[in-house]
Amino acid sequence: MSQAIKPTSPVVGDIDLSFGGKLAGMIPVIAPMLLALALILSRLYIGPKGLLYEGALTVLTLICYISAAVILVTNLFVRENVLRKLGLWTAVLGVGFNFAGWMMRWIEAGDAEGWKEGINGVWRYFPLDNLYPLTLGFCFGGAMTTLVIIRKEKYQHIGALSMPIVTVILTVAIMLGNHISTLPPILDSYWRPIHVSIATVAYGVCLVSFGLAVAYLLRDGVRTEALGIAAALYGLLIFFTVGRSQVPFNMEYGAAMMMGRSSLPVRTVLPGVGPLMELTLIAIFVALVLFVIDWFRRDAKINRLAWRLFGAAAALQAVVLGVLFYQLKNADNLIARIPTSELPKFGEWLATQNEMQLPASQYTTVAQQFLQERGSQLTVSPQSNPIEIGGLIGLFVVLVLVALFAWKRDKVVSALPQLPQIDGLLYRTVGVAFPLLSLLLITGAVWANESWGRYWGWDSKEVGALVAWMAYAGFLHTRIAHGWRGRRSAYFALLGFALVIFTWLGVSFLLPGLHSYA
Amino acid sequence: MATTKTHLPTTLPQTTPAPAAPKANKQASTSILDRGLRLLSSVRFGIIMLMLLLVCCILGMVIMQQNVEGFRAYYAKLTPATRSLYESLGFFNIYHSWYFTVLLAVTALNIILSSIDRFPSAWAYVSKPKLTASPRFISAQSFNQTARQSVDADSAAEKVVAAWRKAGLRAKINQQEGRTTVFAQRGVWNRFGAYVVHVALLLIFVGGFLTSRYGIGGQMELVPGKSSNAFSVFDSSEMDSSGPKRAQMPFAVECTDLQQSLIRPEGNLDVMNTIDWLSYVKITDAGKETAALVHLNAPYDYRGYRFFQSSFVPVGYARQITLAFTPTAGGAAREVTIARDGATDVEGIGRVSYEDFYPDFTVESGRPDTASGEYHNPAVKIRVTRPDGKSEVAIAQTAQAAQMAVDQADELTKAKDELATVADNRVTLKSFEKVSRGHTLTVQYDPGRTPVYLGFGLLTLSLCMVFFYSHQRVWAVVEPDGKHTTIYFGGNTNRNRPTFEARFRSLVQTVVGGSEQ
Repeated sequence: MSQAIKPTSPVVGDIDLSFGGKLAGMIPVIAPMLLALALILSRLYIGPKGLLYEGALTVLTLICYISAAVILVTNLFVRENVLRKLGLWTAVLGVGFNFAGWMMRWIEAGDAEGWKEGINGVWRYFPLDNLYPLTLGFCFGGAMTTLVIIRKEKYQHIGALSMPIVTVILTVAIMLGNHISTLPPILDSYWRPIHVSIATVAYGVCLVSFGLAVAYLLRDGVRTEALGIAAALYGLLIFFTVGRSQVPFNMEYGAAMMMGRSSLPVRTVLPGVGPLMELTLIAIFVALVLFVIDWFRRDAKINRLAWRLFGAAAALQAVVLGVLFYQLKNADNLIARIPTSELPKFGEWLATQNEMQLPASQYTTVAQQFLQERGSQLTVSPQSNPIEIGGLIGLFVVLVLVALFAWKRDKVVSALPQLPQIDGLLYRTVGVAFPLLSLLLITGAVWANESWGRYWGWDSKEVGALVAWMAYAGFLHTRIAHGWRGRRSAYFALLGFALVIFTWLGVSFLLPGLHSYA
Repeated sequence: MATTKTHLPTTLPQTTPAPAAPKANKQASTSILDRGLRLLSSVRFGIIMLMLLLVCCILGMVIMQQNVEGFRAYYAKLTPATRSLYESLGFFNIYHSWYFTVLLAVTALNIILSSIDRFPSAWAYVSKPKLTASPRFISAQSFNQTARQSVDADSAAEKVVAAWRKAGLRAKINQQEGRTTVFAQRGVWNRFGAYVVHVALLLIFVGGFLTSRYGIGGQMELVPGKSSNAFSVFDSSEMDSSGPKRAQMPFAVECTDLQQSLIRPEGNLDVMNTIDWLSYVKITDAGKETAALVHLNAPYDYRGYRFFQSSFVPVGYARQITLAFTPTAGGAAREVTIARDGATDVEGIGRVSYEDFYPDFTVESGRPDTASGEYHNPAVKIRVTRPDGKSEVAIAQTAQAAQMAVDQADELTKAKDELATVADNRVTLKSFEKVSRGHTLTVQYDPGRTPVYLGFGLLTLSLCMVFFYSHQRVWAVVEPDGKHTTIYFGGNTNRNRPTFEARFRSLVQTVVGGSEQ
């Protein structure tokens, strides 16, 4: 790590280094903190009135982040200074709301439990109790790092790459639901705020370094078709996994049924969603095949056709999301729409839940009985499958961004900073992310040792954090390994962020282990 | 190592004088060794090792490991082909497989070798600082500036030294080939950041090895009044059916008291209704007694052993009880409070001892018992010993339960009620403090902790170093230029360029002022 990189041109050239200049440059970073402070103080003095709720503030944040993302992306194509400023300040406003909402949860968790005497509320109610506040913090970390970078005019366009990701992540947070539950006593340790706070900032910085790595690859002249292929592969992955993999061959998409706040392992088919998804999937698949043919043949006709299909897939995906949300709100006759193939598994789950020993042939009967008795209490909502819906929204964003990029490639590339500048900035963000990830691992290990009596147990979340750390260690070492700089180096930053996302969501939802609560 | 000419770009290769080259007849064997060492110490090889470890880790995350809860069910659902494939490749216990250990060992070796390989070039910054420079060297620096001064070279150099000393830099003047160079640097030790990081990682590796090789972990049941100097060792695998193993400690641990502080005292012993579990213990070591408290997130250390609050028996008990004795002949009730397993003298009744607690009291074939672990119908078994030495047993129920006995006169309630009279007094359970029947402590003996924590500390320290400091060097080459003097300022840093740029500008500024640039 002591090896310095020597960019061919200075990383910093034209910034004002006087104190006043520095302070003026910091305003976009300080302003949201002041806004958040004002909101939190108002909540403390006025109480829960008007918009002084975590939920309301988070929705405001989402509105600001979506607007900022749209404005900043538009700014790539329409180089107006007004747009740049508007984008920056919308993001500033969003970060203020984001931080205020996140910290408001501190007060709300304490209020919910009544600030018990004999409990250290500062630690106990610290708003990092499950995946929801962690995700709020993650968004804050990502958006704040973006602000730190885009406040400088020459890096303004980096925001167009990071803010859309922040927006998708915040959407996932909102679908996770902001219910506050009692903290499991084992988590009531001062290590929790320390450990998890580091995670929020580290993940946020990783997010921005991902945006920078993408910027680097775009600037470095990666073929547009490569992006098309990557997006299409992501699309296939999504459609082959969501809704218990029933989309590709049965044209059915089912949402998990909810009882109160918990989702049950039984799915009901949402009418119309499956066939639409199938159409999108076919468009993506054919576009992928055409991209691959074009990759080797470089045929202009095929290329044009592929991009048209790709654009169509983006439009179709918008329709898919529209119909999906409509059906999640309005679908009726839910019980009748449960496919019979769902019943045996659900019955088995019910039997295990009630500690019943049943022969496998009885499972369907048990499930039917349950649905008859309690069926009226079952609903579907956007919270049924937050991760799947997050993935679907993410796909839409990726399709639109790649399509826009393909449409006006030259404009976008010329808007981005010079390669050495992006490279220098990428190195610096990873230079911040890596020590933070190390501290994340260290504090996690110390906490585990103080609470459970072991500092390393190869638990999935631990390994996830370690693996992301290794990817970034790989990135830093490519800088001193002969011939590994440049594009190959950027791939490590992409890998690192993919692993961070996997650790954040995948481990909690897909893998068993100690960290299953967050 | 020294005979290898590394292919890596070292900045100052001339500072590592290569020993005499090996003789020709040994060349073949040396070159294999050479190549092997070169490969092992290369950064590329390190990155490849890192990526292989990464792949193994991801496999370990995706395939459930045999020590994870629910492995049995997961295993049962796999097809026989998958099972035998995973088993033969060691995927169910990948982190302890031979190849994972080999990968770790090779990575550690790579860290050591590549650090040794690159250390001389970093050391050269300390042993051979670049004291003299030329205008050409200056122009190659990241930051440079030229200024003309209307004084002679010597006083110009003195001026630079004075100005830089004022700015907190120990500047030195050096003469070479008629040129004067002023050189100053700070944070040269920053060049060793990467080595410290690597030493820290190796320490953590060593600690991890010690833990896995010599560490013992297990569990110990705590019930007040019971003492033990052994604990049951954790099974390494859920599939291992060899039965529990025991480990001995060189001292005995006795439980003196248990306490469970609840969020809502009227609620049950549920985890989500609990703030903390407290276990009071007494350690007896060669006749010496030490009292200690173990509670959640606050372990207790004794002679290399560490005790953690781990879990509890979810069966209700009472830490202390308050009883009311009402004379059957009439009169005022007397209240007494007794701790768990304790006894107290009650005037006119005798010695009352608290023998047992039933959270959900029932009578099973004539004997008091509990129907569940929940506090549905709490009752206490007491023994009253009269002054004459005779003793009798009574069951104290709550006043509410006693009232029920009057209301519904079925067999069971009657049987229960008959037990509630002792020494011409009706005894009722007035109140009690909820606690579980027993706690479980995790016991850890871990000789690897010290190196691991040392590694953590060192890692944090070196990361801070990387964050906040950098190796900054500045030169001022002073050359006479007729009646005037030209000063070539140059500087570079190994990181944090924006801050250094500001510093460099101000260092130049202090010498030349705002003018004569």
